[in-house]
Amino acid sequence: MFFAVTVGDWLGEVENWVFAVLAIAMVYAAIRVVTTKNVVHAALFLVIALGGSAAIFLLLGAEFVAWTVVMVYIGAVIVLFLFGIMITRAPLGYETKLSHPRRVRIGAALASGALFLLIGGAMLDAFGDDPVPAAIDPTRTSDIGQSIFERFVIPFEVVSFVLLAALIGGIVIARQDPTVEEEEVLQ
Amino acid sequence: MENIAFLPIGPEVILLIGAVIVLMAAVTLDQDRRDWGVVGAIALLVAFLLSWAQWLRLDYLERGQELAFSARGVESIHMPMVVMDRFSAFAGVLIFLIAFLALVGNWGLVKTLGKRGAEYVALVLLAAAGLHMMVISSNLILLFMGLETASIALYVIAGFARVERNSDESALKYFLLGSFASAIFLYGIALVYAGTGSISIYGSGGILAFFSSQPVAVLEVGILLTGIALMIVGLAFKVSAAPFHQWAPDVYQGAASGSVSLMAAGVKVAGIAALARVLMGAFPSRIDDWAPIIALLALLSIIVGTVGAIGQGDVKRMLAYSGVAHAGFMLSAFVAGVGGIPSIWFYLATYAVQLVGAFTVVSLVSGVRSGASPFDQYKGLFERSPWVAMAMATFMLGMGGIPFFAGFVGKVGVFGAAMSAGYTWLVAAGLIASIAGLFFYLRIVVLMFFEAPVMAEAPGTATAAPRLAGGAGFVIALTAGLTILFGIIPWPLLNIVKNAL
Repeated sequence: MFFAVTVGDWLGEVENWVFAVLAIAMVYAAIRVVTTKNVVHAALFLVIALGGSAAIFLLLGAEFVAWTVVMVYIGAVIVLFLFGIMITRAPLGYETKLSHPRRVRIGAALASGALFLLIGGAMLDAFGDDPVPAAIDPTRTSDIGQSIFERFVIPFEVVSFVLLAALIGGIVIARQDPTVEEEEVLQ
Repeated sequence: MENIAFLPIGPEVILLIGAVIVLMAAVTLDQDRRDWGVVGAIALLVAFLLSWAQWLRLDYLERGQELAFSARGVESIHMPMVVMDRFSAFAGVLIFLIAFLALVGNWGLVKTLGKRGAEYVALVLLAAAGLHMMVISSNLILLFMGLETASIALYVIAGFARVERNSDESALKYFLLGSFASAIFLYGIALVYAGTGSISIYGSGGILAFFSSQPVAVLEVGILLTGIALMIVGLAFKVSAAPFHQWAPDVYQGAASGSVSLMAAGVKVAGIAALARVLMGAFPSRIDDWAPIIALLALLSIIVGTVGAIGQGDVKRMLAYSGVAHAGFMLSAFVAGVGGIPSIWFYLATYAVQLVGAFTVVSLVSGVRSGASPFDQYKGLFERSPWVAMAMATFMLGMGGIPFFAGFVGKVGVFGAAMSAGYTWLVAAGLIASIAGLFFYLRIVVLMFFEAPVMAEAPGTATAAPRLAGGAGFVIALTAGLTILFGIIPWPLLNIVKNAL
């Protein structure tokens, strides 16, 4: 019922081929992010996974979102990860102590597998045999701008205060604490 | 474009302006001047008054009208985003009162923070704004943004006293688990959007309109229910309902005593209210689907919280576990649907006030910056400081649900609501847990009144009479007074909460 279209039809569409390649690459990269023992490799695999999601947004005609993913996530967040690893002088090589005991790993695998089945099942149940629209209209960037500054103006403003809170937090945590003598003077 | 009404988001605007002024003033003023503290307190007070004004304005607008919970909110900016109803107005009164008391009562903490005090005050203001935003939003995206504003501010507040050993661990634990819960909540929003085609609760094209246009069969029921379940998980984490409670004892114990009251009481108010808004505001027609989940969460929380609290030897850990149990008591009124909201509000208001008072006492007795608060520090408190001991006893008896204290009326209300919905087993479990819970509340009272003080040589052990510094005395007196007042004459508050939906 879920896969009413035949395999031949499916293979006939170019988009499906592109999607299949992207999906396989993303799933592989996503698994490697968690399983690799090297922090830098994990960050680089995350680049592949995020790049794949940007490509899927492109396939769906959401070009602005796709390039935002590229700029913000691949461009900024991953670079921040790498800088964080560098600045905190985390071990760059293979880390053997990262692995948890066996029962913890099995428990985590079971929990994430169950969540995957639940969400995947719900998705298939809802959209499994829906045909993809023949022609997808690209979402225009101007429309997104319009809705951000009209309908979503309040959440947009709130985002800036989330960033302010995060900025204050970063300063508070990163700044040197007052020394013990200063503490005593203050008290 | 329609006229913009500023009253619905007035409190938020005031708080955000206040936060910016506090930060700027701290930079420009001399180091030893703390005038910005007054600005912070005034901003919270004004936000409190504005919420009250919202309530009065709604009274004026809705004279003689009987509106359903889902159809309220007469005045709003862009209806799909922010809703102003008595539910949100009452939440504002409560949240800003708690934040004000938490700030004033723990002024000692701000003083010891020195240069960083201004950042602490600014974060408290941002957290209060975020918490209230969770309740006023009629759009799930804005609800998430409010949740994130409050959460990020509170993660930092948890780690503020970094000199203390446990504070870092507390903040990191809170941050990692909290951001995970936020992600799950966000996934829930995405699935609800996939199921209903909307992230707006009210208004045309909103979730409610979707349900009323398709009353018989919702096509994508599986994806919708998955989304609702994930949203419940995310908010259950924030209100520390079992089995998502493991962070609470460690975080409460690790964070500076002076900062816990906002973290505990404020988040509980906003989380429960946001859960009520989502479940009863957006999905009242699916109550048969979510009520069993909530009932199970409530049962687990009541059992885990009560059993966990019995074995504790630290007041803050004990209060954290008892908070899990209290979350369970409040959740048990959810099964009654919209009819349960008044009893939830009464319970929430009285519990939050007691909790702020209790944590203020903890910060006096154990020190505003300290993490641990072992029972030894409370032995013989009555001899050292009779008034503080009596106030603490009031809070303990109130939380335990002894008649003539506010907690009793609240418990009667939530159990009555669960009973009316036919969840007798839940009420039975709640009653047993309430009686078992008396054990650990009364143990503190016995420690304070009948045991000799422990004269430990170890530094940092409070054996002298705690000094009633700053506004702590005022806060303790006010909260203890309210606990007794609403225990003996609960009718004024009962009348208010009856309309607060």
